Amino acid sequence: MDLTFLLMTLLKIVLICFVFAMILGAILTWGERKLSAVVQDRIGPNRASILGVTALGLMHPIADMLKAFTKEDFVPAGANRFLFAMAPMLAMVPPLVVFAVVPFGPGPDFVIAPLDTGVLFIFAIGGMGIYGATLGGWSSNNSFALLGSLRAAAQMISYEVSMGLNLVGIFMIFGTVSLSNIVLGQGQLLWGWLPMWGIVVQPVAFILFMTASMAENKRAPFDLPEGESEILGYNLEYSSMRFALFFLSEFVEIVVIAAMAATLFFGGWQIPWVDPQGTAGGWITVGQVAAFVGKVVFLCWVQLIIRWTLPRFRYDQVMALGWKYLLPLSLLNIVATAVVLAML
Amino acid sequence: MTAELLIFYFMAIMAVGGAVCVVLPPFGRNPLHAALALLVSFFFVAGIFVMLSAHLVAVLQILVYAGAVMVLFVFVVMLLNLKKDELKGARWTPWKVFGVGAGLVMFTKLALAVVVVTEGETPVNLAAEGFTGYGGIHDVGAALVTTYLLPFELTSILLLVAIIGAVLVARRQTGGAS
Amino acid sequence: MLGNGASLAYVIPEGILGVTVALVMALGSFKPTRTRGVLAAAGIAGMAAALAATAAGVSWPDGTVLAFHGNIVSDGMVAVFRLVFLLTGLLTIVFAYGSDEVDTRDFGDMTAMIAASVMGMCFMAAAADLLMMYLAMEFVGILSYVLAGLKREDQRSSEAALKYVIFGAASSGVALFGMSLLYGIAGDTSLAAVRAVLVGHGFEPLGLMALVMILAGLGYKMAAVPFHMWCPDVYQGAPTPITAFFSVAPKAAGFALTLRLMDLLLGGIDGDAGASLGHGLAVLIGLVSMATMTVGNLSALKQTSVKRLLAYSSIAHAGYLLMGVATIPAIMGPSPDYTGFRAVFFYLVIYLFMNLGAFLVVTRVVTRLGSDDVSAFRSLGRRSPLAAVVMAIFLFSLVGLPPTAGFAGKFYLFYAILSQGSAFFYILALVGVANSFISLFYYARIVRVMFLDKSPDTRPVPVGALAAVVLVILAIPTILFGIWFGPLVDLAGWVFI
Repeated sequence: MDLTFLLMTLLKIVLICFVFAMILGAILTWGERKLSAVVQDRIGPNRASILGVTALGLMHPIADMLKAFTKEDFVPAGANRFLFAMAPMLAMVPPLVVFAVVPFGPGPDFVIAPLDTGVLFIFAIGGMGIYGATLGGWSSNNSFALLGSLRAAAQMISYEVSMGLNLVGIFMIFGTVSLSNIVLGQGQLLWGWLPMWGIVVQPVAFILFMTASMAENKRAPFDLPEGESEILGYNLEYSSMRFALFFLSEFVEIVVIAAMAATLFFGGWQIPWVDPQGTAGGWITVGQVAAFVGKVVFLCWVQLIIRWTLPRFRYDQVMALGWKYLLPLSLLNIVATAVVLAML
Repeated sequence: MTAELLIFYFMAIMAVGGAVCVVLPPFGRNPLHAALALLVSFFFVAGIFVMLSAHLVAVLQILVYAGAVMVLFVFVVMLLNLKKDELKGARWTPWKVFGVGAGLVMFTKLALAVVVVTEGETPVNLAAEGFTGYGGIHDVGAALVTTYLLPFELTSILLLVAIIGAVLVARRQTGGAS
Repeated sequence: MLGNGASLAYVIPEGILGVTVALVMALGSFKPTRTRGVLAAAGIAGMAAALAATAAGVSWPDGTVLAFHGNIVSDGMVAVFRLVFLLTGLLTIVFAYGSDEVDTRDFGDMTAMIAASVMGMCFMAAAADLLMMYLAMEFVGILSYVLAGLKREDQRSSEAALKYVIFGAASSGVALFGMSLLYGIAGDTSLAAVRAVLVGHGFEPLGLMALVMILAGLGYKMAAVPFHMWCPDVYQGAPTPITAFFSVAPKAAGFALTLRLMDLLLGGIDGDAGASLGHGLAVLIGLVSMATMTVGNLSALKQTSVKRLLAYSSIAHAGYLLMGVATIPAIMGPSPDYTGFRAVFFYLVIYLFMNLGAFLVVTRVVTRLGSDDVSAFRSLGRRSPLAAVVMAIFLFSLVGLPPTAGFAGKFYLFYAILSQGSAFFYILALVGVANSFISLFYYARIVRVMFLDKSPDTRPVPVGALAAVVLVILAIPTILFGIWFGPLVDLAGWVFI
């Protein structure tokens, strides 16, 4: 427990969680609005400016932040004050904590905590995210918010199961749950030329995982618990910074899902055919970190595109999809993977 | 007073405190507060597991207990949504006094018994040889599918019949015997 | 100690039960096969197959085999207790088939759960590891909670299930805490390791406290005082065929587990540490037995509902059986004498026949007359002579009057404890005799009501062909084993050779 180790860990936490994750989350709020504009053939937000510089609307996240800070902070009468204040924090913390096990580059220097039980840790902490949405609605002393939070809880529990089962195929193939080792395993070459990325060996699992994760995140087309334009959701009594925390936690979770998918299915920090063991230093390592960040940004973009392409599902459709289609498919995927592994 | 001992005391006090808050007023009067106190207790027990080098069990404790079981409890409590006046006031019956007294006596006897039994015993040094990977996912997983295979498989059958039973109890009743 | 593959040969009846569960669930999923007859036939066929396999000697080793890496023991005791559990399960399905308390829609699930419950009980009798013990106890427990609440519209049934759950959860928690303490001092979950520690070092007081906590959890299963509070409400609220099942099978499983625990921990040990532990436990179990008998019999005197009366009577019978369990000092030492434990098994088999018979009569009365009150049994002797006569036989057997089998059972139990020789056991036997005497009053009351009381309703109560056959099948051993109990004693000899 020496001081340098402690300081290095703190530095990594600040860089990964606060600089990378939260800033990327904030940029994604801008990205979402610009992307929706491109998809819908319009210009999008471009008015906010500092000293006349609009910079394609990148000033808008700053404007949103100022708005959130200066709006009136309102606690409804009869609300459970302690839980009302805790719920946004309970929603924000789990996505940030999950970054503790994600490897940004080769070796133990680029990951905060290379746990042996990596992905199980992610599921454990991800399961904590349910409490934020659930308690937010309940503590608002509002029937509609309560119903929204019950919807959120039921949806998140349902898709958590499928999300876990989807990854069992990856665990079986690479023989480990540690994220760092899975990334190292993806450096191997199939038939001498194809890098053994997750998406190559488990394509079905990738699609199922993305679906389940987007549903877990309560992101369109599964965003009925929030129901922004149609029905009242769990965050309806929240205003200003509390609402901003809920909102931002959703976008940080987009980054989390992208980071997990990049690590498990797209080779993490691996650049194909270049330094699969992560032992070369210098510029190659910088390139590997850049490759990881690039993959994360790409997968964030994929999630945003899906949101603006598909219409919202009805609640019973969401639950039916989770239990009647995704879960059996996940189990079939496990069985098929086991059969293929046994034959090889 | 090493850092490890301090951390253990902190976690132990929080775990026991959380558990006590589940039943004692003022926390215990509100079902949701009691459930959340239990959640806090589970978290710190997971922390104690980590200190005992049982890493897999710690993660599973959070995954299963804090993440699934307590979510279910919270869900049910929210569904029932009892108002404050519907929750009855606390009454001290003679049986409750006797129960608390018996519980305290039991606790004292057990604590003394544990102290007597562990006198002179040295704790295992988990940093020593032969303990690498102890409590990790490989060791526990190997034990589950070799030594403890029968309980493992029986547990899966138990879960299946428990789910069948739950559906049976929740299903709506129809007409009589044909 | 056998590995996983070689151990499969020792759990074949349990495997057959597992297949039965799957088969019944599969048949219950499709409309054409979801009839009472088909599902009952599937369940009975599965149980009968397992029963035939066990009787033919499958998975019945001559000595003791430690299987599945020390998790379970396979020996003659497991095999003979399997016979008890399977027979009870089979007869319960037959009872439920003719009873209108179980919906046709629930029949498949009920059959599957009874089969699974019997499988759990077989593992309870065989458990040699703390983890396995707890798992088997919970297996049987969880299924019992659901079975108790089968009549979902009936408030009493839901209340029964709720009381069963809360009580069971608390008792299991206490038992598990005791098991965790034992694990803490032994370092391994297997009962062999616990025995080595208890016997070698004594580890009093912690070992004794942990064992008492485990016995508290087991006492709940056996419905012993003071863990009996759930018993009358659950027996009264559950559908009568399920009550019949509860009164024999989980109780027998609880006794099997207790006997197994005592044998694995204290059987044949030498040394002072173990001896003092054994004597202490014997006195404790003896006191519990006395309390159980007394509370059960005295409470039954005032009951007007026959189901509740039979519930208290089953508590009292648990008390008699605990007398046999209290003979722990006899199994210690270099030449262990298992007479007491064998008497427990002997009495359990006889108890199976007489109790299931009594409950079958109650089932038919409830189905035909809609009430289980004592007044519903008035002039049953005239309206349904067969049912009344066999009911009288079962009730006199429950009292323990010669020449019924109940007398032989009680005789064996008293013989086992009197041969211990110490004053405590003489007092125990005295209390047992006094309680049998008290029980005569409430059993005979039903007989008097059936034969001597006049009822305003003189319609005949047809029992039905199937029930009549089963009643006769159950009544024959109740008289036969009172006179010709040799084969049953031989069967009991398999308990801890």
